[in-house]
Amino acid sequence: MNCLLSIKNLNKTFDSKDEKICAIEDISLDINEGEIIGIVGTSGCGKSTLLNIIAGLIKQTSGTCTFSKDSPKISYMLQSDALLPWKTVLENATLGLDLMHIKTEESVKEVKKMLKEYGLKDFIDKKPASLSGGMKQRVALIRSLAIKPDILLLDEPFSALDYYTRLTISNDVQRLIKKTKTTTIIITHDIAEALCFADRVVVLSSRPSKVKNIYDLKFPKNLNFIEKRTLPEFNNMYNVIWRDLDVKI
Amino acid sequence: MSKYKIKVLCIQVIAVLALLILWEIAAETGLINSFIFSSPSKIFTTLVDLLKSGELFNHILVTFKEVFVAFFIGTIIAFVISIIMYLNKFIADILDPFLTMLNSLPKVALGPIIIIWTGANQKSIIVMALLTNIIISIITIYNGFIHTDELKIKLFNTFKATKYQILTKLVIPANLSTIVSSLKINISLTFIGVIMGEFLVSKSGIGYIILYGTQVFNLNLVITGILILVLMSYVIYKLITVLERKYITND
Ligand SMILES: Nc1ncnc2c1ncn2[C@@H]1O[C@H](COP(=O)(O)OP(=O)(O)O)[C@@H](O)[C@H]1O
Ligand SMILES: [Mg+2]
Repeated sequence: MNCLLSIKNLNKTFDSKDEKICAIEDISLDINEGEIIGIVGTSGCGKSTLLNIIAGLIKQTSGTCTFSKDSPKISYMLQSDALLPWKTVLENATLGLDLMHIKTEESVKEVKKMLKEYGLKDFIDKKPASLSGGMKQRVALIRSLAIKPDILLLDEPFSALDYYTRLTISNDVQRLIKKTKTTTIIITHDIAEALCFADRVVVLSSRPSKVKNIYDLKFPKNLNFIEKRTLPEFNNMYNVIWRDLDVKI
Repeated sequence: MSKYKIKVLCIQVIAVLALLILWEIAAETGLINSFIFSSPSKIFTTLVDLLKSGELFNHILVTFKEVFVAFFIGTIIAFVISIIMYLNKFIADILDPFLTMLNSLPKVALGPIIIIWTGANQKSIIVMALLTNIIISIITIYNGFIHTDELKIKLFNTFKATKYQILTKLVIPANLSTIVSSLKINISLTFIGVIMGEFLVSKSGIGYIILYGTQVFNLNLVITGILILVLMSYVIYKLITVLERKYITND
């Protein structure tokens, strides 16, 4: 498989007023084209920081983060949907195309098709205020995918949703990502979500983040999230990762 | 109109009528000195006289014109300065303490200087009004700008948006309601500034009527002037509210 993103000996230290916070320590990781990587770690360990560095929003202290192609297109889906309330659903979904000056009739048509496919047909020209939380999140995902990113970064994208919405939306989102074959990194503190979503799970230690373990998941491909959760291997993996995280109760 | 709204309106009308009637009775029976406190009937006669001579319309027009000129110039300058400050943090940091200082300064204290600098004419009224409205408008709009949702700015940054795109496609639309509420503050302050200016220099306008009335001790004229002011500011305020309803879609 082709390696898309190669992270080598990455370090990040924040200099705040009176203390240095080391968020990331010596992380190395290769991400292949088309795969979905799940990153789990306790909250505050440095997961968002890692994504921010990959997205180029902040600079690392040392180490490298190299893409195999020049000027890769990166999409970042944030914790909240961050839809603009004064724009329609379609305008929101094409925001990235607009800002990057790559909006064409063709691309708008594709966005419309995705919106229709994911239950948003009647809302295309409505304002986001009329959508439920799950629908908003779907629009946010379509906005991220519209630019046809080389890599999609998801930072706890479902944490604001209630449990049941979360299950169905995450399943939908994963299907859409698989279908478009988009290379994806998803951050979560929910082990089960990572196991359902990803092809590989990277476990980070608590701050400063180091790679503790990497697991290749070998669940049967065609199962949905609920079905995956009933597999015995699923539970085994869950327990292994839980021990890795070393959460004190 | 709903039943509730009709009820509110009725009580408002009754309260005003009751006040006028009580005022009139008190003045008629000598309970209050109508020479100092005037009375509704005297105010009415004054109003009719002013209307007949055609003076009133002229005065209202003068004041309105001053208010609108100062309001438009003030809003545009405040808007432009806010944008410059938003785009250039360096300039914003330099201006910050001066804005705070100027904001707390009672602008009327500058009146005499303004008259000397610009001459005792309409120009000084406009300058007075601008000084009154501009600083607070800048502070309000700029504060709205810098408090734009961080997450949305991050979203724009992930799409490699330029600072200009962030300004025009995010910061300004996201702050429309802040801008409108600053317009509301702006219009009442402009009014204050214009009347202060008219007290200082003018030969016409509602402020002039009030001042002239005081000088010749015609309290009917003074109170009539004040009532007209109340009506004028209400009309302008309503205009802005209508604008707001029409153009601001709430989240
Ligand atoms: N800009 C910053 N300045 C200082 N410290 C920061 C900054 N951003 C994050 N941190 C610190 O780095 C650590 C990791 O943060 P983050 O990556 O957001 O954690 P999480 O894994 O929950 O996403 C936290 O302790 C946080 O306080
Ligand atoms: Mg985080």
